[in-house]
Amino acid sequence: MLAVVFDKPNKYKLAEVAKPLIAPGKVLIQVKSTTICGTDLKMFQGHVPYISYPHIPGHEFGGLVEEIGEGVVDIKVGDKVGVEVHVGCGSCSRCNEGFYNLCLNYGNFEKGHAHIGFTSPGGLAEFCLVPAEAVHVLPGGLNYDHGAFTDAIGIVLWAIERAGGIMEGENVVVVGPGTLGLLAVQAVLSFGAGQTILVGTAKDEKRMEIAEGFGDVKTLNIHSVDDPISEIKNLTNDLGADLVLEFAGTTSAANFSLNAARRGGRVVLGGATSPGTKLEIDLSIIVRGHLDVFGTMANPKRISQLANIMMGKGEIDIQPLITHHMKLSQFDQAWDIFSNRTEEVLRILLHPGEVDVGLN
Amino acid sequence: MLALIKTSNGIGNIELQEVDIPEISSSEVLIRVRACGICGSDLKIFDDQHPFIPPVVIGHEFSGEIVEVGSEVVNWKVGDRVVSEQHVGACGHCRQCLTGNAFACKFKQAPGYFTDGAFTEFIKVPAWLLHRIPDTLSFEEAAFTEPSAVAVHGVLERTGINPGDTVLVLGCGPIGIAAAKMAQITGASDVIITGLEQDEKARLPKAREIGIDHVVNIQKIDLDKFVNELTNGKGVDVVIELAGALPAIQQAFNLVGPLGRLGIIGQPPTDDVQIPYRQALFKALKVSFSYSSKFSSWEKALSMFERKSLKPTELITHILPLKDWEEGFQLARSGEAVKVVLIP
Repeated sequence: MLAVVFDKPNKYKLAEVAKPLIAPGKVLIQVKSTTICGTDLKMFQGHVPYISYPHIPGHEFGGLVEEIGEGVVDIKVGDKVGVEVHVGCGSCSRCNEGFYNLCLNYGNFEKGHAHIGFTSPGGLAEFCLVPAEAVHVLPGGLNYDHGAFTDAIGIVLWAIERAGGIMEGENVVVVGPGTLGLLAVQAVLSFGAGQTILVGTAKDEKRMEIAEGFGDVKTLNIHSVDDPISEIKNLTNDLGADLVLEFAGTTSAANFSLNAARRGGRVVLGGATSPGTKLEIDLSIIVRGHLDVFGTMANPKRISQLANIMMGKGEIDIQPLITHHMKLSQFDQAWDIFSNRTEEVLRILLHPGEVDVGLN
Repeated sequence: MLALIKTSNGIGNIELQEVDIPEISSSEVLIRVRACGICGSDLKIFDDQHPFIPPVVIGHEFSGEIVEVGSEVVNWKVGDRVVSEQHVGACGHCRQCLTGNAFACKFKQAPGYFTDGAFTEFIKVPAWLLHRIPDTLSFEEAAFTEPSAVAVHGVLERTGINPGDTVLVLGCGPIGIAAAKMAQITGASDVIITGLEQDEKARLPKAREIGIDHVVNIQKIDLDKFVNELTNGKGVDVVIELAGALPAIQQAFNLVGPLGRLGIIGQPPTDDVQIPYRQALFKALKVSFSYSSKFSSWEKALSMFERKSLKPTELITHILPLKDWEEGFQLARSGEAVKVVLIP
């Protein structure tokens, strides 16, 4: 089968590799719609720990169930599915709490852990073998492209859950208008926030426009004003945000996020998932600010089920985030566009079969 | 001024009488009442089914503008458009008051029941109970803040709605419809609201009109079967009980799934209510009783109005002058109206 293979850091190829074989407890998915995420770029550059090369990346994909392994229930051959990518060992103390994203046996296959596209082969390929626990059968009306967002939407929903959800009328700031930020804005709107504000930079103009199309969203380009924090205060009764969700992953974005919260507010930092980014801030912003600061990573507790429900109800619309449809065989071109951030790219959906398959 | 007064105990005994304009203390404001909704408990006072101390001016779902402020009042001035919480008399220094739960203060004397209410031209309230009406809201809409705050408190604050929840609201009065809408606004996936045949006159059609996911006339559709099919036999995540009827309370316990939550806002006619106690235990249910509302409930209700996610105009079906109160009470009782607002 055709697959993208990272041979070693900073080197990839599109190659023919062996199709995976079905195994007990596993589901073989014929990938129909798959995509490249910013984490794939970091992985390519060698910044993601626990990757063993050669490696097939890809952790946001939807497809058709080709085969099921012994012991798999509730999933049938022919089901349209999306996946979430963290599968825990199921027996450690974190897994027992439902936090399989924090599994103590991370990377240990024998104990049943798999991080699809990270420690196990991913979905930038024609087929992908995944543990049944990772599979979400898509509700009627959703297509393979939606399946490619099952995981990402779960991430933003979990970030909101981390901060205790959104109470009616709360003012929420989302920092970073990438795919996660634009999904978060939609979730925030659907949970009944008061003011919803998306923060980005001068290069995010097109993304800000997309966000404004989702509803009553204010956008703030931090390069367009002298003091962006005072702009946030102006929009929030001089208080600052009740909740800040950060999906930008930079030192300055984290600093901005902590400064944008009101006294006693909540800040969820979700962008910097790989090591190396420092937090530089006057600690009194957190201490005197009486802030609740949460780190978040991935999407435990089957929260991606809710992602599918919300897509099904139209509360989250993925179409504005899909800037390109291409064949998997055009990966070189896609990688070039995505890594250089040209053509106003957000998500490029790659289709191993026909390009229009994913639209069904 | 003319005021609608419950003159004494017993059924009826409500009439319009001329009374003095109240005099305010240094910490109070005098409000010219511009609109006041008819609540189910007003009907219960008529029927002598709700506590009150006669003679008393009834009416508590009001909005108005400030016409006089006491000497110690800051932050408020003559002309401000306001609504007011109901915790008149709350002491302000007990544990409940200091934790934001003045509704539970033992000194509270709610207007319209225990102290003079708002089916009249002027009412006095302590300034600390006021909330500002957003400029975009009419007085009639703002009069719907109190019942909405009751729904916010019971549904969002006491029971809690999680995104993705399936929510069953039993009862389709104005608070029930508002509760169902709020569950949707805050991310519930499927919201069911129930009513009876008599509710087909106005309330069930209104619930359909404003887009509640499933509107069930339980005299036409078997609710148990409906919930079973919708949830694949799992039961709903949340039931909000607003019917206050004994069979509905039974059903609330039956239809909620394991680890589900039950929010009880409706007032049954008796203390002696039988519930499936062991079933509730084995399902590990979380049952939240909810009464009245608090500061945060009012702020959230006004926020929903301002954002137009909850639109009081959709629920206000009749606006009448105060002198036509009897007609208003009749419309509310018969179910021909969703919400009736009286204008003094």
